[in-house]
Amino acid sequence: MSTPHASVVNTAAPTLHSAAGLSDLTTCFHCGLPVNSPGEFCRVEAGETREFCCAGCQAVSDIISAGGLERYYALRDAPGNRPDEIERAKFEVYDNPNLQQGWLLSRNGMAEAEFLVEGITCAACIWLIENWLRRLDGVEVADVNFSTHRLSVRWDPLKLRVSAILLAVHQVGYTALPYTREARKSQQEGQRRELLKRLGVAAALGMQIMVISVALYAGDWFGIEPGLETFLRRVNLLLVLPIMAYSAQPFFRGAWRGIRSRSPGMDLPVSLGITLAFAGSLWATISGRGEVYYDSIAMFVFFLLGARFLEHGSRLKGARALDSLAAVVPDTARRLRADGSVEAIPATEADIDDRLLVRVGEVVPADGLISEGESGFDESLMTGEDRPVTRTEGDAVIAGSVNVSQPVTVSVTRRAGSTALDSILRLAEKSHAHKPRISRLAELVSRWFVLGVILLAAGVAGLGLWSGNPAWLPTTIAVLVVTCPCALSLATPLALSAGASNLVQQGVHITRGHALETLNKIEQVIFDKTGTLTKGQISLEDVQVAGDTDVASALKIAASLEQGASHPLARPLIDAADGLGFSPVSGFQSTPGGGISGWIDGREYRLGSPAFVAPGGEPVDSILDLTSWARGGSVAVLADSHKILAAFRFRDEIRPGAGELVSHLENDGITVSLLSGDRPEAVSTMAEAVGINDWQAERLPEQKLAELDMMIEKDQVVAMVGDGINDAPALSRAHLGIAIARNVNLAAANADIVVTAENLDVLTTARKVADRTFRIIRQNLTWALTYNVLAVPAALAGMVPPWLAGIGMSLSSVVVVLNASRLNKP
Amino acid sequence: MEIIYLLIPLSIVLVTAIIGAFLWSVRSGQFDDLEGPAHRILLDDDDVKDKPSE
Repeated sequence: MSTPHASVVNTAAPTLHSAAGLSDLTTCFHCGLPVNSPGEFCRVEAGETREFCCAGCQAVSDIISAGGLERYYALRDAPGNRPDEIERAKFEVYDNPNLQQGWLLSRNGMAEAEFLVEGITCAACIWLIENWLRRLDGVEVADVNFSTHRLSVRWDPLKLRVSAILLAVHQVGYTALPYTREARKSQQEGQRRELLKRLGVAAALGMQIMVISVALYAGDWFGIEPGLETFLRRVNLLLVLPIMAYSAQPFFRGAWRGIRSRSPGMDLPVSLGITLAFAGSLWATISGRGEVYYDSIAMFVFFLLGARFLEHGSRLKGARALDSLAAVVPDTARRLRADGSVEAIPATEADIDDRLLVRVGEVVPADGLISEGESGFDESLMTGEDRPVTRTEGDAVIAGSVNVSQPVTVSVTRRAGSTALDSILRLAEKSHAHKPRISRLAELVSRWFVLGVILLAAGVAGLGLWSGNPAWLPTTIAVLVVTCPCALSLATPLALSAGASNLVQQGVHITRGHALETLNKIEQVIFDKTGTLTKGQISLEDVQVAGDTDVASALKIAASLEQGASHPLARPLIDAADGLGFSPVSGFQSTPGGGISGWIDGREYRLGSPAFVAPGGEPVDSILDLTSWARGGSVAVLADSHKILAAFRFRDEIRPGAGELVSHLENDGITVSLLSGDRPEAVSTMAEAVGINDWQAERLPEQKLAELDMMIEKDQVVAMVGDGINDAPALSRAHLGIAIARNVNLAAANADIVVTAENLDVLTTARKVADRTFRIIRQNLTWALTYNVLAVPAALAGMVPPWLAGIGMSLSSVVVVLNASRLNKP
Repeated sequence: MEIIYLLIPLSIVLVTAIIGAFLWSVRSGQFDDLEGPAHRILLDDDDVKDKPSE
């Protein structure tokens, strides 16, 4: 997420107001969406009339003003959230003590919990939530973390229940749910804190060591009292002990892991260098002869830890987007009791044969059969199919699908935890295990380098011992110091994290280390259609009228009819008819799977599928030429009781930048193909629109996987671009999985790259950044290797005094760091 | 130069105190959110101090 700057906080609010004032279109004062019926929801506040789009927004704004938090509107730099209808019962579930385990802590009679807040867009949101909660009686601490969107609250459980807190957050337009992934959070944050502590200790002690070392170097040049030299060396020994015992621990552990798994990494020579330098210095300090290398130890450890800390930070940033996955399947379900009353229960407690009520707009909490009612379900999470499918009594519905038209009762067949969704997720985990690994360039270089340095050091030591040269230890250490793989080990991670953080600013998040490198090597890109090349938002594309009907009046009738409807085609029609006004409709009826009908000005109109509009009457095709006109889009036909009036064609809008991305990829010699679960007509139009020649339609997730395996077997580096859970196994199996986070969805957990930007062409930018990153890595490695290759013979010849080795080593690192920081600029 | 035998131990005591303070601040979570406080400081003046009397 991009960081709103302070100046933006102060200036944006006036811009918002003036934007609303300048255009003809009235926008909602709270959420910024267009106001359909000006004057219906409005209120005079602070001398101005505020228009709202709905009662919900008005209520939130009323609460904010009445609570004395009016400043929110001046401080914010993004419009507020339009509140969803949520009733109390949904929150009251969390008052159940059984369900509070794992996230609610009791300490000294106070309750503490963390909540994941959705809808935070700017710093003003944090201000609003914190101040609103602090006003509640019983709340002691309310803190929102801006980077993680987590709210931590401490309150008096006797005065306040959890549901009251959740409801309070909801009242001001946000959704808060208990943050249950305690384990993951504490692990990641623990790692970060641990690294920071080690880094801080190394920095503080390292500075002391440096100061004293400068005195010792000066002593080498100008002479020093032997007693003082001994004292200074002992002080440095004392200071370096915590660095060895505490700060450098990760390297020792990494080296040990490398030895055990027989794939020594950079940690091995680092540890070896540190250990030998320490042993030599210890011996020198005790015996009073030879060189000490305490400054080098402190410097290695600090620089290397610093690089790791930066890398860890950029990984955390990427993982943050995945944090909001929590809410795909709801935590709560509405169970129907035998007497017909409804109780809210935790979704995990819904047992087989329980009857659950699923209202419009809600997500089905468990797999089941519809026992009552008929409705459309958006199953795109599972199937990728972009339009709702009609399910009637006796049909199966799957957990994770969204009920879009009418309330239904579902009888549970599979409990939460064993649903189809869960099994797909397990499939994703399994394919994770045999993910192909392309070894990193840097790893390859460093492995050879590691081997070379160790062999060289061993050779020097062996030769020295054999020839009886008393200086064998100092020479060995000198070789290890001057060839310290510091620059070499910084070269790759620093450039990678700088490249990654550059991309984060553009809405591309790298979640796996190898992603940037693989991005450069891809030879084949497979796109999924729904939500990847398209926005997943349907819009009206074209209108065809029959006879003397004019487009505007047809639109007006259709939009008026759709006002009472809730299916996905209603919104685009109403949006398209903006400004035409609506006619009153009576006798409105909705037929799932068919269409809608109603009376306007004494005439009956029907709007829907051709079969629904003209049942048994004249076939639609005889009046309007639909087959060639439809071109893969969805079509709705409008008719009155006598004749057909018009047809509307809808299309899921193509994501901006899709065409550019495809042509950029093809220019780079990359094969682009489209695999979709959708119907052939829809896929072919889409492929044509963005310029993809190679497309396949009606592919099931397993078929996509098989296709992918075939390409992988042909030794091609394959990138899969998709969203939706059905893509998760494929995203994981491909060399590079790129997830388009339309809403944050589970597929992201298996992706190497998560794209949150609206414009798809950022992937071209990402490829350029990846290219630059690897150019800089190559430069860094070349520089580091050149330095080492030149320095090693000098060290071997005994031409490098300790202070020069120290300066050479730090300089080589500084060059690498500065070079990598060039990547931070866009 | 004898003073150095006093000053250096003194600086070690100081650095120990500094490290102690740093470890405490990390442990108490002061470094967990490095972005939020930068924004919060701009909004501090607008905080609502008093709870409603109920």
